[in-house]
Amino acid sequence: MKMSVNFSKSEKIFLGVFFVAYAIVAFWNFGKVEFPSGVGHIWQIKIPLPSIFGTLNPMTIIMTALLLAILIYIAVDFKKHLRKIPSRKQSAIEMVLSFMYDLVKDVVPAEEFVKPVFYIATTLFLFILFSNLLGGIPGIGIGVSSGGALKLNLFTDTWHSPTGDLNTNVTYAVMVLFISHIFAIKLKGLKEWAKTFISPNPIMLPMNIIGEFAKPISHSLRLFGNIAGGGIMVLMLSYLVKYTFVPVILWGFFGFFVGTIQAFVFSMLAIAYIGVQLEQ
Amino acid sequence: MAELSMAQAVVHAAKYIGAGLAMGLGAIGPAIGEGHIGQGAMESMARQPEMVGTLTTRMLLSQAVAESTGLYSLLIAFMILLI
Amino acid sequence: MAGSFVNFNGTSILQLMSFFILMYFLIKFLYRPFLNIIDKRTEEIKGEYEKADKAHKEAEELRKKAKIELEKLNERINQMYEEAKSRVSEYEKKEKARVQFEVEAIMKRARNEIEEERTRAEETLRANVITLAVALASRIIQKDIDEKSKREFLMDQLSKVRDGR
Repeated sequence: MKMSVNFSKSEKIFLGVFFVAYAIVAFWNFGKVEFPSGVGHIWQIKIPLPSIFGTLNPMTIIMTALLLAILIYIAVDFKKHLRKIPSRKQSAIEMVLSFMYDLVKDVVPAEEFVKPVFYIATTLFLFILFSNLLGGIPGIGIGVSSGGALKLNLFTDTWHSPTGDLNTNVTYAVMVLFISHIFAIKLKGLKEWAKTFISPNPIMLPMNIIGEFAKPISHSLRLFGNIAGGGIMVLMLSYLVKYTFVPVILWGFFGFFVGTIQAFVFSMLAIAYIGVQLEQ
Repeated sequence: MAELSMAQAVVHAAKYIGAGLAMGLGAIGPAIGEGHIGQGAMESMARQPEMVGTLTTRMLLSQAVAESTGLYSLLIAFMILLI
Repeated sequence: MAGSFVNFNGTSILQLMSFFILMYFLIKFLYRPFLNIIDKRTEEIKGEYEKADKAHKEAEELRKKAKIELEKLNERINQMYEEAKSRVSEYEKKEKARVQFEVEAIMKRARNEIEEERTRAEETLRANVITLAVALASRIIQKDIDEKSKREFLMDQLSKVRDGR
C-alpha cells in the first residue's frame, strides 16, 4: 500500500508557522517545567449540584465542544459537496463509512437494527478517533501545578483529549451496554430477554450479571488506560528531553497509531456487544 | 522537599515499590499474550502470504485488546505514584 | 481546584448529551446522505446494467434479423447470377450460331464469286487461247521464217500465253 500526502500551499504555510511557533515555544519552555508538578492532576470546577455531579472538568467540556464543531463542520461540508461522482475527500469519507457499514452488517444479525447500530458505532468511532488524534498533537491547555494553582500549558502537553477523561469513556461504555439491552428487549421481548440471564441454567445467573457488568468496565478502562497512560508517558519522556523536538514523534505514536487502533477497537467492541445481544 | 516523618517516608517508599511492582508484574501477562498473537499471525502469514493485509489488521486489533491488561497496570502504577 | 485524573463526575452527563447531539447532526448531515447516495448509485448502476442488457438483447435480435435478410438477399443474388449466367450463355450460343451462319454465308458467297470469276476467266482464257491459236496459226502460215526462228517465235508466244494467263 503506497500512501502519499499532498499539502496545498495554505496548509504548507500553516504547518510551517505551526512548527516554527512550536520550536520557539519549545526553546522558551526549555527546562522550565518541574516534572511531578501537576502530572496526574486536572483542573476541576464546582457547580451547585448535589454529590458527585457537582464537579465538572472544564477542559474536557471545552475540547468536546471543539470536536463537535469540527465533526459537524466536516459533516455539513460533506453534505454540501455531495456529488454522485465523488471527489477525493468525499470518497475518503465514503470509504470509512462503508467500511463501518460492512462491519456492522456482518456482525449484527437482525436486519432492522443494522442502521441504528451503524449510526451509534460510527459516531463513537469518529468522535473517539478525532479525540485521540487531537491527543497526538502538541497544543495548548490549562493544567494545575502541584500546589493546586492553575497554569497555562503552552505546547508542553498535548491538546487535552476528551477520551483521556474517564467520564467520557465510562459514559459511552455504559451507554453501549444500555443500548444493547434495549435493542435486545425490542427484538426479543421482555420475557425472552430475561431468559438469556438464566441460560443455560439458573445457577449461572450471578455469573451472567457479573459478565454484563464487566463489559463496560473493561470497555471503558481500555480506552482510558491507553489515552491517559500514553499521555502521562509522553509527558514524562518529553520532560526528560526538556520539551524539545523529540516528543513530537512520541506524541505522534501515542496519538495517531495507538489512538486510531483504540478508536477502532472501541467501536468494534461496541458493535460486538450489541450484536451478541441481538443474536436469537 | 519538606522534612518527612518516619510514617510518611515509609508510605513514600512503599508507593514507589508498589508502582514498580504493579508495572513490572503487570507487563508480563500482556507481553506473553502479544507474543503468542504475533507468533500465530506470523505463522498464518507464512502459510497464506496472500492474506497479509487482513492478518496484520486483525493482529493489531487483538494485540490492542491483549495490551489492555498491561495498561490497567500502568494506570494503577500512575495512580499509586501520582495521587 | 485540582482533582485526580481518575474521576467520575457531572461531566459524564454532558458527555452523554454531547454524544446524542453529535449523533443527531451526523445522522442528518453524514449518514443519511451517505446511505442515500450509495442506494442511489446502486440503483443507477443496476438500471444501467439492465438497460445495457436490454440493448444487448435488442442488438442480438437485430443481428439475427439482419443475418436472415442477408441470407435471403444472397440467395436472390445467387439466383439472379445463375439466371444471368444462363441467359448470357444462351445469348452467346445464339450469337455464335448467328455469327457462324453469317460467316459461312459470306464465305459461301465469296467462294461462289471466286468460282464464278474462275469460270469466267477460264472461259475468257479459252476464248483467248482459241483466238491466239488461230492468230498463231495464221501467222505461222503467213510468215516465212526458218525453222529456228519458228521455234523461237513459238516459244515466245507460248510464254506470252503463260504469262497472260
